[in-house]
Amino acid sequence: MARFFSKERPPTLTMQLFNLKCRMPSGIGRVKGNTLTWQCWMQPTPLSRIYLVEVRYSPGGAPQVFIHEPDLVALAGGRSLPHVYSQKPTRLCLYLPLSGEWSRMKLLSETIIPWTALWLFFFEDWLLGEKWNGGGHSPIPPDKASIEEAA
Amino acid sequence: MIVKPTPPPRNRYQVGNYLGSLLEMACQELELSDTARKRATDAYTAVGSFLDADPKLKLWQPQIYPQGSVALGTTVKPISSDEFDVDLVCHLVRGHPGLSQRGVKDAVGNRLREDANYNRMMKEYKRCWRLNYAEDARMHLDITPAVTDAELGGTRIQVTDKESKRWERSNPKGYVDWFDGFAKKPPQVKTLGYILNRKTFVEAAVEPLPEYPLMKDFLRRTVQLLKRHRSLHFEKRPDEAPISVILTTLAAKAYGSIGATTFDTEFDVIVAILARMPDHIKKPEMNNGEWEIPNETTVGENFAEKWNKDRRLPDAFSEWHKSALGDFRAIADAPDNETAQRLLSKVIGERAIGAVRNRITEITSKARNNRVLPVSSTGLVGAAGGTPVRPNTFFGH
Repeated sequence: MARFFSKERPPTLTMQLFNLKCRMPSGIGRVKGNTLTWQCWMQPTPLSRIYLVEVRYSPGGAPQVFIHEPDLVALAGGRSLPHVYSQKPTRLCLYLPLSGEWSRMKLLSETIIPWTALWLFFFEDWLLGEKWNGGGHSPIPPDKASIEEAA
Repeated sequence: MIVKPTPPPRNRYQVGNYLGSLLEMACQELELSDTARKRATDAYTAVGSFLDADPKLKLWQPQIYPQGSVALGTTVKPISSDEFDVDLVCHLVRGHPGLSQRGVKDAVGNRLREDANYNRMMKEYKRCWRLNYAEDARMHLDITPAVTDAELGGTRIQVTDKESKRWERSNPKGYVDWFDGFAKKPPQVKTLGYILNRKTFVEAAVEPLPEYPLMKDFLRRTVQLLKRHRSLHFEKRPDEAPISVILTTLAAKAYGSIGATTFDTEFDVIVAILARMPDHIKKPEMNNGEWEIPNETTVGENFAEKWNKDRRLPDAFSEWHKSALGDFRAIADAPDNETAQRLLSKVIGERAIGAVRNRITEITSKARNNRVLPVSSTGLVGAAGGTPVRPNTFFGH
């Protein structure tokens, strides 16, 4: 496709919100200052409970994804939640930083949102079984943990 | 903070269809595998040729063919062992009820004893000779000697019986045709059905299924599920378990009685069949003091005959029926996946539901790796019509 600009510009927060609303009409979001906040209910399988998801995003930082309801730590019953940045509040690790999987050029609705659904799917699978079957990267050393913020 | 979005209501169509796909996969897990079926066919064909090679028996024109669940296609693995029960008829086509039933049973038995292997494997039961292949093939063949029932004609036969010491009427081939008459009619459901389409929730979205399961219709699947629940329910007291032919007959009649009713989902049809099963039992107070579930394909065969001798049996049936109906209904109302899976394990067993779960995870992962896994607007993973997920790597601790 022909491009009229030499540099592509990242989608604005308003565009991000618009696309989220198109993808998940029942979600609610707003842009205040330099921050987009989005909340929606998600259900990874028809037999699943529903999960209240919040996405917070400020350009320049990484999108942060929380599960507010129900309390996943309580559901895990003593097991440590896999693939999270923090257990409580439960903040999910959804992509490999600096890999290009996520970048500010991309839409949250096409990346972060479906990845959250996938995370919930494998979370339930993990809850029912032993293993995390969703694949992923092994834990990173604590001194490099801040690297994800740069993505 | 922003205002919390309103929680979406539970979508019972999605629940019913998803359950349909889980149960379809469970049945595939539970039935006789193609290899096991082939082994059984090879084994009974060999027995058939061996009987036919005997000059005395050959005069009576012996034919060996499957009856019961193997003939119907409603096999279910036993719970505690891996051993299949393959029911066969050894029909002496030129035989007739004028022959001594003991004589016919012995003629078949004596011939089998002439083979050292069969001799070691065989044991006599009420109506049959059992050949136990437990060591290598994990199955046993139950061979019931029979003669032609010329009086009633058609495919009807009369079989030997050690206890009653007389010929008993039966019609295994006719029963399969009778069952097929009900089974060939697909149920009327409002939404795309996974059992009928032979696709799982994920597969329906991403890929066609292999051909083999297309062989199975809705009623057969239902019968398999009911039999499985029955076996699990009576695991500790198998003597009281309602026999398979009772479940099969009642399910077929119940399915027939549904007529042109349209249901929301296939799962609802299963529950409706289950709910209507007792309507087709003739109760003593209305039937000259006798429990009766007649075999409609011959005269004088009552599948519930034992209920009249053992009072525990009709009670056990009611108890099972109540429990099965409760369990099936509860699955559709389960508040979350963990509860649903626990209830499903009551219906199809812990191991089978575990295998189904693994298969779903496998299919999902495969679709994800191929970049064709759809996610819907409510976050359903693997729902037809969703947008495919882009590659990602779950990161962190």
